[in-house]
Amino acid sequence: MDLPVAVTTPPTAPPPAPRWRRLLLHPLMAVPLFIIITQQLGEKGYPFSNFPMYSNPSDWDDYIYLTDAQNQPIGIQTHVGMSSAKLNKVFNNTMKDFGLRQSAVKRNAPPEIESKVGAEVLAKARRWSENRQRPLPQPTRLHRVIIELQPDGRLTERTHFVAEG
Amino acid sequence: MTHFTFKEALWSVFRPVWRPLPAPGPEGFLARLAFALMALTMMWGLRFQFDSQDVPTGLAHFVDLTFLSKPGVMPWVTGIFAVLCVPYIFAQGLAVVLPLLTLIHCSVFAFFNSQGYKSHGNQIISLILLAQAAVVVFFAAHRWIKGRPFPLRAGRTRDSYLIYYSQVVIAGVYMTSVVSKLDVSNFRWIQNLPNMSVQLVKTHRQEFYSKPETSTVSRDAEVPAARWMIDHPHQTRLLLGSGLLLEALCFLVLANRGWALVLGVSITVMHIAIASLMRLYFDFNVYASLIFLVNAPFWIAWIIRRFADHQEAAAHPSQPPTRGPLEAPPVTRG
Repeated sequence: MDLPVAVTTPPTAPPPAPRWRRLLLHPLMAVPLFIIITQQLGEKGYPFSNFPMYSNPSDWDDYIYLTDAQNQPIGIQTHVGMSSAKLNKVFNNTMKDFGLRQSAVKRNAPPEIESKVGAEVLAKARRWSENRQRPLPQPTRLHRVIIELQPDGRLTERTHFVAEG
Repeated sequence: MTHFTFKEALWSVFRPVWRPLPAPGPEGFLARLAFALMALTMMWGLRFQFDSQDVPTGLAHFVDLTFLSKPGVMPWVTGIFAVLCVPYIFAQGLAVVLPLLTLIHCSVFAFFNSQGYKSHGNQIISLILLAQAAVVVFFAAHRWIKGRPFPLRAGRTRDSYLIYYSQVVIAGVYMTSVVSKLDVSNFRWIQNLPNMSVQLVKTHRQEFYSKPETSTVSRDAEVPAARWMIDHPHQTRLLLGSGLLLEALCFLVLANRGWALVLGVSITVMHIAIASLMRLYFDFNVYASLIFLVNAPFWIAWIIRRFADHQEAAAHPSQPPTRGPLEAPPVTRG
């Protein structure tokens, strides 16, 4: 008598996903996705950023500094609690609020607008310094320096007084 | 167990995988420990002098974060962050802990960046937290929706994915910066590099005016590196252009541990050079690179394992060694 034979179906592997789907779902695809998101969000969506610092080295740039009435430099980090570079970014951002967006316009900003920007930045800096119990001296002066690379290869620095408060 | 030649061991470290790698033994723990300490260091002692968020970014678009500047709030926030770091380090309740850590970190530094300046030194850490939170939430959602854990490839653990997507963030940060440089400069970035001398003078002056009383740079001193850049434009393009190439090649860190190590060391050297040349400090980028690219936790775990093997071999001299000279964990495709 024949013994009953157990009938088993051989295990079959599921059909592989289409190549395009495997490529799309590859962990490596997270990198281009990340780049697309950061480029789209720019600087508006912390923690994302397109990291644009030093992305267009130009032949001029600017920085600001603070002094007392005797033109002795005041430590921005010490009083305001931020680096000089950050306060400079606040200054440049405030310039945009006053319509100075283009590089060439910012380079030779009209003095009357520049002094309004300076006054606003000084007011903020004073408030921040007072909040940290390290008030800026009265009065404090804000100066702006334009650094330029001249066609003959010289580096020049033009300093001018912007505001006092 | 077979013996490995040096060449074979080297190949095992440099064999392209492009996927999460096994994270054996204490590697995941050490990576979480180092990363948690770094994130906590950023928060420690942080107090805000700001009382508004004039230029909101991220969460500040939706939530008024000015409460963070109220007296006594930040010590509490930092304390909660520190407490949450403990289960994170020991990989307990990550699906809850990591999103909370991310929320706190992103809120604090979104407020920090909502004052009219953008500081790019903190973002990499917030982004890594966000990526790790996304991984654990995805794993939890998979288990909840499909009723079974996410099928991991052979030898992989959740730590493998946490480390891999942290590397994705680091690679993405540098590569998106390359895209921005080429986009903003209309592909003239390398051509314009001699102009970087202007920025060099600027960063030196800014360092002085930040803390004139203790600054190591003087007020009006010439910056020799800036002069050199003007006098040697082609060498400047070659030198700084290699930095751009390095950033563009950052996707290689995802290939395997070998390339991650090479790129990680190069990025660390690049940041040290930038700090010394331009007075721009990206300390957290360096630390993140040491943890996830150079992968110090893996090498520490490897040394511990090798040391244990030597002790075992000394105790049982008749048995052959079980590991090769540079053996990494197997990188099977699973």
